[in-house]
Amino acid sequence: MSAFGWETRDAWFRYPQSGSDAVAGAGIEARPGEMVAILGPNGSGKSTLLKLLLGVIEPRRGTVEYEGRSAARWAPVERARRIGVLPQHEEPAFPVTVGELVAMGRYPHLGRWRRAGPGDRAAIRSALERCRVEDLGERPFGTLSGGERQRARLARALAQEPEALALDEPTASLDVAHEMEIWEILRQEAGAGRAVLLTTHHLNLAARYADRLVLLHRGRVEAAGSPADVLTAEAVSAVYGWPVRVEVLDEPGGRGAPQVVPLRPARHADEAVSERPEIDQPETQESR
Amino acid sequence: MSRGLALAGLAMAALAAGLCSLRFGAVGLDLGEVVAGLRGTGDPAAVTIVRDLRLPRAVLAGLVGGALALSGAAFQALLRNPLAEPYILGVSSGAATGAVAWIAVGGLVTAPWGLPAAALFGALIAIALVLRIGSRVGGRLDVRVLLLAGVVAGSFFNACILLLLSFQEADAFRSAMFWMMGGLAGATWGGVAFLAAGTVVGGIVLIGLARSFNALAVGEETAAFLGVPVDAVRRLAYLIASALAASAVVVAGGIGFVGLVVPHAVRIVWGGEHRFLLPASFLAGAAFLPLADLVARLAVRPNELPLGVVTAFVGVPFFIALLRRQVRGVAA
Amino acid sequence: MRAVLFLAVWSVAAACDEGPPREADERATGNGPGETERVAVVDDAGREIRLDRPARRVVSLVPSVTETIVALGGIERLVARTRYDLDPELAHLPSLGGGLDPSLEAIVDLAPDLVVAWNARDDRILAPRLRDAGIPVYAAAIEDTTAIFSTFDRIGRLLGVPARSDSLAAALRDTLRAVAGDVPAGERPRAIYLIVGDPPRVAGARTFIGQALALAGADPAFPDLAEPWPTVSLEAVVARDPDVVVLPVGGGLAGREELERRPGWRDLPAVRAGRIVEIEADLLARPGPALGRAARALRRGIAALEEETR
Repeated sequence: MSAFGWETRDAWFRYPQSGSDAVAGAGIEARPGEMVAILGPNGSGKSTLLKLLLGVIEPRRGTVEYEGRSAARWAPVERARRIGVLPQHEEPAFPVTVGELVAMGRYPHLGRWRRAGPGDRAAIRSALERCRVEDLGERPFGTLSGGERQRARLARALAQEPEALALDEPTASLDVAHEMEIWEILRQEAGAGRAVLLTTHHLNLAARYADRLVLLHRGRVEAAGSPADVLTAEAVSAVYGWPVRVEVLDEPGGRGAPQVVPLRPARHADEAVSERPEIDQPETQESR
Repeated sequence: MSRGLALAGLAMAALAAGLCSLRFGAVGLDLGEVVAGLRGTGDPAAVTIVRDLRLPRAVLAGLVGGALALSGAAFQALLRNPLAEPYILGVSSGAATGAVAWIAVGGLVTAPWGLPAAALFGALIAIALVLRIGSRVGGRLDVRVLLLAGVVAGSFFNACILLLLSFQEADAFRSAMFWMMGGLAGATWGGVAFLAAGTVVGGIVLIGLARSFNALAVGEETAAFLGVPVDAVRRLAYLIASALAASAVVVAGGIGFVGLVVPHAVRIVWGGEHRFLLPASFLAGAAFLPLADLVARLAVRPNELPLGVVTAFVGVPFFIALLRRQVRGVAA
Repeated sequence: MRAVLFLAVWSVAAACDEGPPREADERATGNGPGETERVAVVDDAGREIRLDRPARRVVSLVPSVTETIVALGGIERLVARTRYDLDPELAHLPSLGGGLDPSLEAIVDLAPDLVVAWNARDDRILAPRLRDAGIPVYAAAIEDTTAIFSTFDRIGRLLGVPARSDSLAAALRDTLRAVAGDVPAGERPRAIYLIVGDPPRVAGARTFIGQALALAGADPAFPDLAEPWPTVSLEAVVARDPDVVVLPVGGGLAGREELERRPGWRDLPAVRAGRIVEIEADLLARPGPALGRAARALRRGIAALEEETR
């Protein structure tokens, strides 16, 4: 196996004072040039798995490796030179401009004392342009729209000139246009040879953009592989607890990505109205 | 480059404040007498006043102001809160308690080097107490809990000072004012050398941590993913910020609000990037405190106001305005 | 670190200076009447003050010492006063404020050759900085009559007028003896000298005020408290049930009316019976030449109460 990118084998993790495993036997991988989306309902262990992959926490069993070395073994600064991370929550305590925020991406390379040189400025400029925030440099971060904020943060991660990107729900609560912009940027970065790893609730966009999907359910990898393999109606219905139908998207230049269509509860005039949808019934499958 | 210009401007302001401090005082000397006094010529009383009283006092005022501003800026970055400040956090009172305890047990005679050490110890106890209360109650540091913890710690340590002093002779009670409200009348070149050394070392370390502070200001997780060893940075920075506050307390007593007002003003004008904010706060503090001291010396001439009275009159309205904005932010 | 070293050196120096006064020096320098003789005395902090010649420009921050200097005929040598020096003869002098924390440069500017300051063990500012500037500082802490007389003696020598200080002391002794002689034999009332505060303080038996009360014919109600100015609770005062309350008045202090209004105090038998001796605070609270008049006033007040009871 190639020693690049992420690789986990049978990783287990349990939070202290918790009775159950947050991640149970996860085995996933993400290679350079590959975009991997981790899917799953709230509480299925997406964020915990991401933390394991970033070495923030250590598995109690199994291995989690980045570039062949245990993820938790990477010194913070070494990790930051290789992996650009976008945490879900970020709230600047003091006013900061977009330019200042993106410039922080150079910190792992600059250390404590070195001044930013031409190479650093070029990396920052390139990151700003790729995220299309080059005109916002002087703007205070707090005055940006949600989409602009996300792009500015992504620009910071890109300014790190990382081999890999890891993003925790990068498109949460963005409108369609802003969301699509983020996905496009990520796809482009994967195309440039980076491993891109993200968690998301947007199954359909993940199916269209990501090379591989990992579907988590109560800490277990329910399914992993190509979007078509993972996003089956059975798997999605079972994992999310809601009946869905899966269609194949026919778009020009597309690869026939599966698209999940959640169903409205089935109601039949001659039957009692059921309050909750019957999720285990095969009637909801597309094969019907 | 405009930042270099700003720093140069602030340095000039500090210099000007120092010169004002030399120029004016309880005794009305004219410019010629001040210059002659500085050069050691002229009336011997004027020479003593300018060289031995005003000059060390002006320099010490600048250093104390700078040290407090640095300490405040660091506490603000660490606690991610613009209201943090050594006096409000009770750190100054903790340091004063340590110093008073050292004097009370007679340590000044047997081991004089212990005074700053005792002050630092007191300051560290205070900040540990505040952080403990702040994080115990809320899980995460809540601004209101933190401020309350600071108030509680400050009152407690002030009570400790009064308790310690009440065991002393009745005469000794007078220094309670110094430890709680500060003053620069006792400025000596020895004090200047001590604080200059401490401020240079502390300032350099803090500026070395400036990028970490920038990242921490955005978010703890973010900082960690930008390569900041968050826990190590925190420990070091708390130590340095407490040491700066304790050093200022040892030479000038408990002077409040400088660490609040100065970094905040700098942030409003030039933004909060710490590689600039820290040196700029030092210089702005060095410009602010000699002027505040001038007010303390001139307001009730020929007596002097405790310096902390003057800084509180400037700082409290500032604090209230900031607090209102923060609480509104929390409520929203 | 140097600040600390300075502090240390200062404290060590202070500690080393303690010890018996050097009698040889005193005899050699103190008794001559000449104005050019060297003088050396030990102040109440145990520190030796040496002057090449008697002091000619004196700043006294201690009102009782100011009165002593005036009584020794040295009024023209005073170059400043405090807010509490109310002698009209001193009104023309610049005021240095309250006397506890005067401006150093204002003092330096007066170019004194002697500064008399309150003794404070934790003084890191006034006396050390003045000494650094080459100005001798005499620290005064006058708690009892012994200290009053020795202050006369030492100030007299610093001013180069030892003969006058001897006669001042003799006059005060005579007055005090006369007051004591007026006290009739028989039962003596128990009195407290009360500073109405919260909490209240009283004058200890061993202070000059306690001693003046004793001379004027009253016994202390709190003979057991060793401190000079002990804080006492109202309850303790009620329990001791003093026969006489001596109340300093004037200068913004609460007077008799205030005492008769206050709950608790107004029910004290001595207060209810009007057994209160009011005395001007500026007279009794100053351990100096005024003590003679203060003792007389006390004697008059106590005698008046004795008359009433009889």
